[in-house]
Amino acid sequence: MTTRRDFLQLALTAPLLPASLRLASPDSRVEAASALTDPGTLYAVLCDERFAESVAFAEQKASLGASVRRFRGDITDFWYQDLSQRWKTDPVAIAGVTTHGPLFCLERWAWDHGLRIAERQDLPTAGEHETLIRWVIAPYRRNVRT
Amino acid sequence: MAIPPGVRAADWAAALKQFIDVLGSQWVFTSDEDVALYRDAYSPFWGEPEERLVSAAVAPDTTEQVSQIVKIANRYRIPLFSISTGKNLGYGGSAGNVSGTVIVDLKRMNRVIEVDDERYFAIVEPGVAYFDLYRHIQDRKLKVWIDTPDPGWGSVVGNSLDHGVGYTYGVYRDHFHSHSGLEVVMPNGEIVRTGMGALPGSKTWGEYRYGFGPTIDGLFAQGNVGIVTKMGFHLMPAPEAYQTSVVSVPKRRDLIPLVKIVNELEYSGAIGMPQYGSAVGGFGPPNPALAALLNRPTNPTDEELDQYAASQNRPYWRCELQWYGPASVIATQMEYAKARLRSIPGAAFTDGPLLQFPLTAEQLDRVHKVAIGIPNMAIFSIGARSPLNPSPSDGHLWFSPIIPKSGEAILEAQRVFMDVFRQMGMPSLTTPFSTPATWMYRAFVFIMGFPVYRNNPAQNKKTRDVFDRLIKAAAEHGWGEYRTPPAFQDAVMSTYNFNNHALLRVHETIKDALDPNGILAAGRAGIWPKHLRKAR
Repeated sequence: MTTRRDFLQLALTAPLLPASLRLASPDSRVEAASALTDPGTLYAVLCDERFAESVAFAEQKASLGASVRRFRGDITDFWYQDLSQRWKTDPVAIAGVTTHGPLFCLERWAWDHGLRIAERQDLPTAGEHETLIRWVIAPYRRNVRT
Repeated sequence: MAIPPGVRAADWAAALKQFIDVLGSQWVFTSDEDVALYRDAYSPFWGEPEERLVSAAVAPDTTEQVSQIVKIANRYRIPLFSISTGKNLGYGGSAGNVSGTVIVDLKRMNRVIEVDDERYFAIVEPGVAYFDLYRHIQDRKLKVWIDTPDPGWGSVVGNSLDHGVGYTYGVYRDHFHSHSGLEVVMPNGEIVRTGMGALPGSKTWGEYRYGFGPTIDGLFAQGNVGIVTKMGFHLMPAPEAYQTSVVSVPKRRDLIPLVKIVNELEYSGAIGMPQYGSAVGGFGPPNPALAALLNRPTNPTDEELDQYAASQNRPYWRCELQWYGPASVIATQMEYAKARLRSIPGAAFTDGPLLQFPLTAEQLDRVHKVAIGIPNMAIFSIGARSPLNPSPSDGHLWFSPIIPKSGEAILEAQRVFMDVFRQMGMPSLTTPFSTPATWMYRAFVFIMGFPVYRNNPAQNKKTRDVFDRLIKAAAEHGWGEYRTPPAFQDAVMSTYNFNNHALLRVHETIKDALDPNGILAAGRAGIWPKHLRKAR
């Protein structure tokens, strides 16, 4: 059936142009930029099981003690069941290797809870899938929702 | 920090100080890093001089604070633009219509005032997202459903005020139609309640929308003469069960009787929202046989398209029908619908499973969640580069013309829009297999999503040009957009021009009367305050 997803898919598959992801600079005032190197500061590492790079990143952080949340493209359950509740009272840092879509959502929710992108790096693309991004979202100080 | 246009530096400083006095410094945002959060992520002018950029943002927590902000803005002629959760992606995001606007960010006003699962209504503040209202209902085990758009992170109030739509029954999925009573801060700072909300101690704010006397609620939907701070909604009783059946019909012109019968079923209450589609076109580049048909200078004939569909061994059209209610009632309604649709030769049916609530985890994983009122973000899991999608974009613009709810109109819209793309030398977003969205109860919206790119202003310019041409082509055929990004709001409003733009002149008269300083959402829906109004 034709859903909004279909319409968007149709738009996105329009053979108009090659594209690349444009990524804003990480906010220079974000705290806890050490999270990538210190998994103990992370609340969770997101693992998109569709991508080997994401799995490898999560497993590496898990071996250092980080808690891993697995998903397959759709961030809804992690957001609704877990992170939205936690961020209401505690704007904890998260990290992961994902495509743009989940990060786009998490970043905007993060803004409303006093967090920002602290680390962000495009990974070399292997194969045909979308660019993967390694990122950390960490506490900031301002512009919170609750 | 940018200063709003036409505002003296001393006045700007005074206004900011008074905003801080009302809200506290932590809720007044002026740094570039904070203000950048309010850019329209999908702006068709990204990085160009015409991109709408804001000068500051304020985040009040109460209606009284909103009122004080508006009074200060009036004192110093500061332009304001209110947002609820700011997720209006594809239609402007959280940026206003003019650069230099101060965003009134209502995200902190996120209280669910009331939900009643015996009289089926809710009253909420604008910062309440669909996820929030859904959680409120689930946590309390209330026997009531919401109707949610896709994705579900937006504001219940904001979506309604933008004439947003959902996926269940018509009376619920038209989100402004399902509203009942508003609380509004007017441009002079006065707080007004509409409908039954105007009656102090009213017991029916969320149920009877009209109250007494003329209704003014519509002025605040896609409007710019007030900031809505509370809204009542009708809600749907939680049904016992849900089931779908997909009817398929073989030939192109079977669409005409199909829509006619489905309309009758829907308007008589026998089905929920139908969803049309075609399995023939598919996504991605067409196969060579189809490409040969589509790339000709003229559109393919119905017979050629029927032959192509037959060669693919697929029915031309499909329509998913939805039922809600007790299983026995669903079974009866489904049988009646099938009996009616069997009048189309070759009609075939594929039934979905009968889902009894609560669903199992496996059922929940498979179901189209918005069809059963569950907000989700699955739409953001697409867009990944794939063989079918080698060029993911940075965002999209929605072109959303309203067309009649008939098969004939669908076929005409396909032809008209394919012709425009051909004339503009652009790859067509419309094909002979395109179907409209059915979110609107009494009309179709022949929606198209145009990709936008942050690193290619030349391509974005081409997109804007074809978008403008489509607006004109639609109007020439009696179709108008229901909603559009700020970049195109003047163009769309200019098509609603019966009797020398009489409607716009009424809007401008109201704007001048209620907002003489023109501080609220200048230019929204093409309605400009006097000092910014251009000669038509």
